[in-house]
Amino acid sequence: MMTSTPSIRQNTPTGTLALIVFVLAAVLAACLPLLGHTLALQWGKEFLMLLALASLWNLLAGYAGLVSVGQQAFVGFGAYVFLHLTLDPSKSIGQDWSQIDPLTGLGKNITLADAFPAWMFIGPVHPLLSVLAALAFGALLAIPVSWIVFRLRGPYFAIGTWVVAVVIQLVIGQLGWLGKGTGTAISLDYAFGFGDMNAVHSLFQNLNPDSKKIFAREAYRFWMMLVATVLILLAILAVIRSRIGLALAAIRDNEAAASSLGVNAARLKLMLFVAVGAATALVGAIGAFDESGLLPMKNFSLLEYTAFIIFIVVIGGIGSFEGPIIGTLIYFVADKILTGLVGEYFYIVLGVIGIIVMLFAPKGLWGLVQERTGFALFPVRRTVVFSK
Amino acid sequence: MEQLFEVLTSPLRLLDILIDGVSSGAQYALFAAGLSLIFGIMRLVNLAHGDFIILAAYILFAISWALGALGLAPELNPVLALVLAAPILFALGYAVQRGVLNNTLGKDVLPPLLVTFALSVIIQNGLFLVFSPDTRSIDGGALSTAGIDIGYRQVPLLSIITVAVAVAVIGGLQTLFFRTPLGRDFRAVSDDPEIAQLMGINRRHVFALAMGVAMIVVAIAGVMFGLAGSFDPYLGPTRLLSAFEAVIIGGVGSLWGTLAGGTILGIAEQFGSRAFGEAFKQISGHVAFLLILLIRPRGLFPRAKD
Repeated sequence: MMTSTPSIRQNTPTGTLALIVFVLAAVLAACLPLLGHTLALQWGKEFLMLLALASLWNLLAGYAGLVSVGQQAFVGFGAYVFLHLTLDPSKSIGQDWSQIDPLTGLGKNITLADAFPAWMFIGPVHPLLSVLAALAFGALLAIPVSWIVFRLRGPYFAIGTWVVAVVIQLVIGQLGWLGKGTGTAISLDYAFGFGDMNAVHSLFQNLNPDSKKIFAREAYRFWMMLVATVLILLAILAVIRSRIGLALAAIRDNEAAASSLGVNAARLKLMLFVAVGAATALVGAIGAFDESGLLPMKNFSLLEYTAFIIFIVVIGGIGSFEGPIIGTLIYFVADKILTGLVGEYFYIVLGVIGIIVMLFAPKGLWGLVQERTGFALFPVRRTVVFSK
Repeated sequence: MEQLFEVLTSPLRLLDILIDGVSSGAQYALFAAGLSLIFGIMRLVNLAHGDFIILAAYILFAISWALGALGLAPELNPVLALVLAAPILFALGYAVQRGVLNNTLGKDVLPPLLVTFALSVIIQNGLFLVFSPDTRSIDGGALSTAGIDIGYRQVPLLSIITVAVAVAVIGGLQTLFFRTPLGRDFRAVSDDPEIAQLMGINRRHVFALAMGVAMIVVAIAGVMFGLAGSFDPYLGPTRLLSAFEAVIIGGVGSLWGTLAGGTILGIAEQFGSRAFGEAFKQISGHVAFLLILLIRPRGLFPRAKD
């Protein structure tokens, strides 16, 4: 009699191929700055940011069932942690007109260190360290936020996260050294206070003598965003392929049954919430490293960092790794083509498409493909294989 | 700090906080009543609720403006506008529920959230396109400026009317819910939609009626809001958050609780704005909400079930 030894297989040849294509695409993307085109870099960064945020939100909502409408809190918080670390305590923030300098006739300069306790400022810190600090502080923020929002279930969790995001935005809007509600910018001098930024600049100047400093910073930011996005996507893939992914699927199908089999649902959800919060803050910090300046209204935008992200994930396919990638591609192309043509109607069209997809294809476009073909670019399912 | 001390030691300043807090609290309770009704009956959290209020305010603004153009007494316009707008909003609520939202109800919390979120974006940008981003307000004629003298200050007549309207609306909903055949249907589908369906109640129709009733409450909230101040297309989310906080503070499912929740929120905001400055108004309301959520996660008057 023949005996067969069953083994469990998770990856498929397609999966290996898809991973290779993914890595190649990332390498190719890394060469984008060599084109010397600023708009290409800005669009590239925009695309990567959407992709990272959508994949992170999908991990929360699609896998852990935590439908947050407040992820903009982490995007904005990360940006402001970054801003704080770029500050130079000797930076002038105004003049004291009660002490007029007889030579210049101007008021005495007030520095940050004069107006606020000097220990608050350790900057300017290197951009790479600053964005890593945003990652850490994102995790630190997620813990107290979880104490509040984890008391709420389902739909109330959603609005709870929103309230917390509004509170964080309002509080940051009151902090004088961060520019209050009127905003502040990160200067080009900050970026060029570090050797590697100058090295990037001279690299581009070798290619094109006219290359501007601002382009070097744009490229630097693009590379940071690329590395962050690739690492975030790979980490998400590793998580959903691991035992944690299995446990999450079990919780999604039946929380009580999963708990009875030893899955600690509460701890798992908390871990994911903290990890996603940290990564979201990192993405927010990198996104803030440009010339446009920080503004609470902008950096905590519900529309940009949550509403659009939700539409991307829903249209692409919630609860699958491929969904947010497909969704980001579609959204990005539609945004670039349609916004110019139809302006404000774009949001209405987006809303209507979101509703139609949710009602008639709740698993999104990728869900439709998978339902019909069972095909997966990045397989997660475990298959038992009987070999002789 | 000086400001805080002054507020705490002056009885008249505290009375001011109470008066203005109760009147804005009544407005929050009106925002919250519709949200609470819908959640109580079909476990649906409508993220577009605030935008519905703003949409109602715009519809009332348009009707009221048209009535003004006809040369009627401006004091009467808001009331007339409400009478004319109520059937429109009822029909809109019925249609949205029957056509869209009924199809999202189920075990999964995601579809209703996403669909109402999308509705919110559609309404905001639709209002922006139709009415432009300019701020508007509903003209109440002499009503907007009338006040009652209580010795040291005037209390706006509108504040008193808002409180009376809030109490009347919540009392009315309570009566509807517990004393009428329609209310019996509401309670039946709320307790067990499947059994209610077996007993011959058309669940989809009852849910749609409930949304229609909620939209009438939204219309009332819209008129009081539009009379009290100006509004623009993007104010919906802030209304939703106030309504939501009032519901949670009061205890999910309790209609009278929303009045208590709204009042606490209103008083906290007035206190914050007077003791720490105008910039702290909103923060104070939210912080009060978060504190109550930490201390009493189920709110002040939780219903036994849910």
